[in-house]
Parts: sequence; C-alpha cells; structure tokens
Amino acid sequence: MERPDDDVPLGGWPPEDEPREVTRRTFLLLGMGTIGGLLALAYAGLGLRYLWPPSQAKIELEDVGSSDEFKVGDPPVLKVTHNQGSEGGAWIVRLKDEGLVAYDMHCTHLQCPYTWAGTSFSCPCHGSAFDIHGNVIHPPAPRPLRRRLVVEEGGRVKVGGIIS
Amino acid sequence: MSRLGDLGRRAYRWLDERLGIRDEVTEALYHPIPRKESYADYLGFAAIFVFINQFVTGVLLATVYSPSTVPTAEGLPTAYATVKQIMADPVGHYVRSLHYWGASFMVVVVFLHMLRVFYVGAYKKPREVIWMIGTLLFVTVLAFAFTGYLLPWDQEAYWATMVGTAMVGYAPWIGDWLTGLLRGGLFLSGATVSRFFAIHVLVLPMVLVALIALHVGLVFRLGVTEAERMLPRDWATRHVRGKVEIPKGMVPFFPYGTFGMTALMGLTAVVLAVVAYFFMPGLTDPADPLNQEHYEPKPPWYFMFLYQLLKFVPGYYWADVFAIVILPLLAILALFFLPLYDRNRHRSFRRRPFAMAAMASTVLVLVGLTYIGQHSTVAPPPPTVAENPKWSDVSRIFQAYCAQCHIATASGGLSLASYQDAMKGGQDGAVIVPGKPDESLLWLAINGKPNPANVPPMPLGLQPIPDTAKKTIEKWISAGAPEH
Repeated sequence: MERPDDDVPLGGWPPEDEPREVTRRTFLLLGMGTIGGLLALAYAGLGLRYLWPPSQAKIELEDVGSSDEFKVGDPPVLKVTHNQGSEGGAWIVRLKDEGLVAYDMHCTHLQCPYTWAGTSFSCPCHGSAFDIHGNVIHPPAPRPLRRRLVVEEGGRVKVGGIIS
Repeated sequence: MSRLGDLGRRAYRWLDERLGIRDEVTEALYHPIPRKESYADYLGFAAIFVFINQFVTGVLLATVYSPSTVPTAEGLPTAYATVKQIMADPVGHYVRSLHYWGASFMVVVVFLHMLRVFYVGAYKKPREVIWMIGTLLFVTVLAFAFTGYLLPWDQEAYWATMVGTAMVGYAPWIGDWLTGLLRGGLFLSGATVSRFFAIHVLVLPMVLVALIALHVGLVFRLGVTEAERMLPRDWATRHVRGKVEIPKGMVPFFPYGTFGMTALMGLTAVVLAVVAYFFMPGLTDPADPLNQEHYEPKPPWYFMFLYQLLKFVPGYYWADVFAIVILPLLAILALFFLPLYDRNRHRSFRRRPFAMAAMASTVLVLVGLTYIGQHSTVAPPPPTVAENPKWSDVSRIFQAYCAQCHIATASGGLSLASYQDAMKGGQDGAVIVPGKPDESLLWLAINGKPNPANVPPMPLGLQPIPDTAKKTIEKWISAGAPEH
C-alpha cells in the first residue's frame, strides 16, 4: 500500500546523524524533565494532601437526646447529627434483643434517604427495604443498613461515626 | 475607500508586523471546503456558541453566587440564598435560565455533533486524534453538568449529587475514598459545594478551552473530511504558510462556509433564548440533609438513562459495580478508542453496516432508557403500609397502579392526578368520603366489593394493587384523607 507520509523527512530532535549516547543535550533534557517531573509530583502531592477526605475515626460523639425518648416498642426516630461538618442523621431505636441501635440515614444502595414506613424502612429511589434490624428485605440494597456508634452516658444518648 | 476601513487595515498591518498572525488568519478564513455542504457539518460551531453562552452567563452568575452553605440572616444556606437573589431580578432569572438551559443544549448539541461525525466516518485516518479529543470534550461537558448541578444547593441538587457521588463509591477498592475525596467528607457539606465550585469555574473551563483549541486547530490543519477526496494527498504537510490554494470543485470557507456556520449558530441562539424565556428554571426547597419532606431524588434528564438502567440491575454488589462503574467506563473507552479498532476504511454508511447498526442501537437504547426513566420517575410504592398516610403516599400508589386510566386520562370522569381532582370524584360523584372507607367508591372498587355505582373491580384488567397499598389507602381515608 502506498504510504505517502513516509517520504516526508522527520524534522525535530534528535537529528538523525547524531550518535545515540548521553550527549550534553540529552543530559540537559533529562535534567529538565526530572526537575519538572519532581515539581509536578510535589504539587500533586500537596493537592492530594489538601483535599484528602477526613477520617472516620475523628467523628466525636454527639448528644441526640435523653434515654427516655427511646423505649422498646417505639418506632425508630430520626435524629440530626453533624458528622464532620456535613449534616446528616441517624435512625435510633431500642430493640428488645439488641438494645439501643443507630442506623445511618442513607440507604446502602446509593445513599438516598430512606424512611420508616410503619413496619420497615423503605427507600424511595430504587425501592430497597430493610427490617427493623437493618437487614435487607427488598433489593437492590446490597448490604444491611450501616450502624453508627451509639452510647448511653448519664441518661443521655450519644451517636458517633459509622462502625459497620 | 473609507477612512475607517483604511485605519483598520493599517492597525492590522501594524499588529501583524509584531505578531505575525496574518498567515494563520488567512489559512483559517480561506481554507478550502467542498462546494456541497450540510448544516449538520456546523454542529461543532453550535457547540462553541453554547459554550460562549455558558461562559458569559456563568461569569455573570458568579458575581452574585457564593459557594457556601453557612446560613444567612434568614436562615437559608448562602449558596441557596444567592441563587434566590439572582432569580429575584427578572434579568438575573433570565441569565440563570440561559445558563441552566445552556447545559442541556450543550449535551444535546455535542451528542448530535458526535453522531454526525460518526455517521460520515470523519473519525477515520488521519483524524483519529480529533475524535479522541472530542470524546474528552464530551466527558468534560458531562463533568461541567454534574458539578454545576449541585451549586444551587436545593433539594434537587443535594440528593442528585448525593446519589451521583455515591455511585463513585462502587469503584472497586478505592470507591469510598474517591467518594470522600469528591465530597470532602463522609457526606455532602459546604466542603462539597466549594470543591464543586472550584472545579466547575476554575478547572473545567481551562480544560475545555485547551481541548477545544487542540480539537479545532487539528480540524484546520487536516481539513474537513468531505474535502478529502478533492484535496491533494499531501495537502496537510506540503502547504505553504499563509498561502491557500483552492482546488477544483472547492470553495474558500469565507464567505461560502461562514453562512452555514452563522446560520446554525444563530438558530441555536434563538432557540436557546426562546426556551430559556418561556421555561425559567425554578428552585426546590433548600437542601435538607435529613429530608424531612421526603423529597424523592431524581437525576437530570441527561443522566436519566443510567438511573433507569440501575432499576434493571439485580441487588448484588458486583452487578451494581458492573452497571454503575464498569459499563459506563467501558462505554467511554469504546468511544475514545473507536478510530483505533474500527478498521473499516470506508466512510460511506452503505459500506459500514455494522457501525451503522451499532450507532442506531446505541441511540435507541439511550433514548428509550431516557424516555422510560422520565415517565416512570416514581418508584413503585414501598411494600409496606405507610404509618400516617398523606396524599403523597397514596398518590404514589395511584401513579403506579391507576395512571393509565386515571392520570393520563380521566376515565369515567375521574382523575387522580392531583389531590383536588381526586377529592372532586368522577361521573358517579365523590369517590373518597373522608373518614369512611366503606362508603368510598374508590376503596370499594379496588377491593372488588359491591357498590351503588356498579363500578367493576379496579384496576380493570391490570396488575392488582398489593394489599399493603390497599391498607395504606384505607388508613388514609380513615384518617380523613389529609393532603399533608
């Protein structure tokens, strides 16, 4: 096949007649490349460090109400939390067998906000549903509700970060 | 010769003496194009016009908008309040409307441009790189749309972005970290807004301008595809700077092509201006991370196909990974590398049956998914009985099971499209008697019970309403059929 492009001499660097060894030019070019590359890497690292998402471990316990608010047999209650500056919430319920539990308010499928619908939790986006223990009873949610750290101290209920 | 014209020419000569731009201007202006043209060839120019619209209106919006979620004196998040402030002024509202609609226009125009280029086979040798840069431009446009969508910080923006960034979380191994990086935290917050704002107004415009420069520069260098057979084979490499030869059967771009270009850009401008005038975008409630009003998240129309696709995916983790991450990634890679694996040398659609079939089915699937998604955004009601049912709860049931006859049309005079319509009833009078399900025609009909109007069991010949949904309706009527 005809390749009309082939007979066009390639200009540019390095000239064809130059011997292939580390010349002064090659050395300078490598040096410039290295310095440029290191600088780019440094800025990329700086940017990444600056934008790095904060860690879960840093979430502090937050007071969400008094212990009396949550009785066995009561429906789950949604409470506001302020984890890492992003407002969110947790559904808190006292279960007969498990005691006080807190579920993060976002569905485990794509983090839509689910609600308590009388007998189970249900999500409006893609139709996932969970029982009161957080187990999936209707797909597409791939896993049980995420639980958050919940403790009772001196008659107060406090919620922390996601633990499961 | 007018004195003004003379002055202009002298100024140009003065400038050219210093910049040496005359050759480039001449080549760009007078490059040869085929005598026969199609307006579809100018879709790229239409895209450039929409970009200019986005740039100008974006700068204007940025003079008022503030990417912060700190509450103002009235208690609204600053970002939301500033968008409201923009919309309070009619001109401001129109500017926002132009920007809002411009985003949709951009997606449409760029997509049509890609279809046209695919159809005429313009991505083939030697224009492979132009196509590849074009694919990157398309991705950049989608990134613009995605980051811009969050900025008004209303319910629509908040929950669409919550889901959109959660999708990134399905990337194997690094998903959660990537989602955190995008959001600047576990969930959405002020940090997310400022991140998205920085990307939307600083990073993406630079990327876009650089890519457009390369894209358009290469088109000028290689000439348009339709001109190929008419141009000398070595036209791209042998041509002399600043000297344009117009081969036989061809015409210079100026003034022959500039007419089509101006016409299409003008048409785009007029349509955009009219649409933006008559369909001003609104604002939903301010973002509520607790979603106390039960807002149902739904994506903008250009991501609707993905939303709809996900409804067909079974509930396995890896099925989701495939549908959310791998499939879109493969699609983009397939688009990007298209000129490298498509070894068919022919450009005519008659000689490319497989490519044409692939194009047609892709378009059909995308349009079909978008259409279904737009018309079924209401997810099936939860398989549970609502606790304190309101109109919004029963409305969802009606939309899922009764829409064909009682929302799209008003069969028997009964429309269930709105609370008022439902309470008004149909030709047999009221169908809902607040507090008394046994006397409500609607409840009797859906339970297949005998009734004074002799209405057959509903829904007639369709999927029956599940017991949980019937129970919800019963509870709602018993509670006095409240709207809120």
